[in-house]
Amino acid sequence: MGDVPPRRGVRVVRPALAVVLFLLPLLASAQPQRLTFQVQPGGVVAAVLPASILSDTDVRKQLSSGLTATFVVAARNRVTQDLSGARIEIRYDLWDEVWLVRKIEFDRKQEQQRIASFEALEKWWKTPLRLLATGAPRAPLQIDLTVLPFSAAEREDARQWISKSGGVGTAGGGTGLVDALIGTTIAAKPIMSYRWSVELSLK
Amino acid sequence: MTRILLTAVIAAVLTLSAAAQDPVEPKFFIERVEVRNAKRVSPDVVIYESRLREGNEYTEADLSDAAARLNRLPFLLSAEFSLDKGVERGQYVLVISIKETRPFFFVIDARPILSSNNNIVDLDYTDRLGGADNNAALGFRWFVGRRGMTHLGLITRDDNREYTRDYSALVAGYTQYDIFGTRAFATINLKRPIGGVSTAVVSPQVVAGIPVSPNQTVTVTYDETRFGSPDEVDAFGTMVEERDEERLVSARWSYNTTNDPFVPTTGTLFSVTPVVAWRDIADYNYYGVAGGPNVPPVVRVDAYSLHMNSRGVDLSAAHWYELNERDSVVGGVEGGWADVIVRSNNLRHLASYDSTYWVVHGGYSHSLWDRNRQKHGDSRLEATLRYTNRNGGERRQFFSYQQDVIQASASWVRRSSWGTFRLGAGYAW
Repeated sequence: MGDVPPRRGVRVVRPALAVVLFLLPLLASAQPQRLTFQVQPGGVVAAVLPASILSDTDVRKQLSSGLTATFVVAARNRVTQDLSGARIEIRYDLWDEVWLVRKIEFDRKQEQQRIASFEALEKWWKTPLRLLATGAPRAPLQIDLTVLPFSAAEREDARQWISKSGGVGTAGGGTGLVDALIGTTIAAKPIMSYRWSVELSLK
Repeated sequence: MTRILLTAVIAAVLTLSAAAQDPVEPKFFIERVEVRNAKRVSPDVVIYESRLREGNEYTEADLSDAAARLNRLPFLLSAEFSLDKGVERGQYVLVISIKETRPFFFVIDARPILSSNNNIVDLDYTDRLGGADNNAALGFRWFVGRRGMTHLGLITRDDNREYTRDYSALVAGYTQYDIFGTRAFATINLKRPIGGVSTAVVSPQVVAGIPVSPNQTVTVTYDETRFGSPDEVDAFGTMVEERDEERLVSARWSYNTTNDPFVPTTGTLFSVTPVVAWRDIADYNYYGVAGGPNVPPVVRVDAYSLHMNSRGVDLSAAHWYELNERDSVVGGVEGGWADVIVRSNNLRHLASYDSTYWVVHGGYSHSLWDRNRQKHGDSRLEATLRYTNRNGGERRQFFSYQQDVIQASASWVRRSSWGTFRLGAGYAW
């Protein structure tokens, strides 16, 4: 057109100026706290979560917000890559002044309670959380605990996506859902995350 | 990656099982919304932008969406939600605790790109969030009254469209929120292009936005830019018109679930933007013949004008994945098409051509800060790879062009209460 305006955006500079120090990523995770396990009948592995998690400043802040704090525990066998887990939701009812808790374990067993005090909540927190069942004599596990604000997993969009995928028959069968679920069920930024690597002997 | 995938799958699986047995999801009757820590930002604007209304019931999912929307506002660094007891049993006060940015703001992308032959590569790189039109902005913003905000600053427009002109401009504007109680907003800007446009004059821009849901916004824009004055100028004794004007009307629909307006690490962004543009250019060519000792020089001045009518559409899609609390990856595509008709004086048809572009990009970023510190901004290392294809051609084959460029860049990006700054370099093939 004979009227081409100067375009912006790309500029050429001397190569010597292009040296950019780019640090290699350093994977980081919160300092793991002690996690203990129980082996129950039927090869069920249950974990006792550290009580110190409830005392963490940010977790405590969410717990006292009157809104739900969601704790998602993912257990993955490092050899077979089998995936299982459990979820805990805790909300303080401001009017009734009770803690409303819900625990959903690996086999979909659900437990709901109203707990009268924080001390009782800490005691309930220490009850073993059933994560998986296995017949193997050894279980090399990677356990991830993520603390989320809000009851994010209750979202309708998550339900719809699961429904579209045909549902998930077992707790270990969720890998096909990965693409559809990324960034949706976990829309809220996690408050804290923890990771443990353990090698369990079930004999 | 592993952690987020595991968490997502477990949460989803257990959601499904819980959903079947779950009683009705709790709802909270919000009798009042209270914004805390607001120093310069109008609390009412925060409430309007949350799309929440006092006297309504909301689920936690509603509140979560509202929190995400507030965290995408450029004048907030963070917004946290909590509940207090209301006046009556079963009612609540929603407390939104915010951390503001400063009234002075800047968004600066300083990434010089090297080329293999040391030539300037005629390539735009709008790889900011959503292929936004601006790659640099700085200025001040003040909140005025309960619903208003004024701003004064410098912006640049740098888009992938072949039929629009890129420029920098000084801008003064005003934004009114919650128009007619609808949660819609409108901005009126007056801008004057600067840099290489000595005769530019002030021109208007009007932007109206309607948040149709917490994650979806429709934005309608009328943007007029006058690069040259319409006044006649003296060209070797002949008065001629010298003007360059551009008018754009666009409507943008966007779906945005990202967690940050400038440095997102999670979420999805889709946008579709139909555009109609008109550009009018009036200028002149001159031809001179040197005179002799007794012969005066001869200068011939030919004035001309061009009118370009363009219709196009731009598309953008990107998804950010958090691998863990520090690492994130992004992948996306952008594309655009336009039909351009060029006419001369007397509206005589000169040429018609198509202009298209498409971009595929991916990137990785690593935060130098832990999750707690990220509440006050971010400091990240980024690496991006970008492939751009642009082409177009006149339908009668008078001319055509094609461009394929691969561009890699590495940068450090810092978001603070002052603004966002990218510093780095890249290479283009």
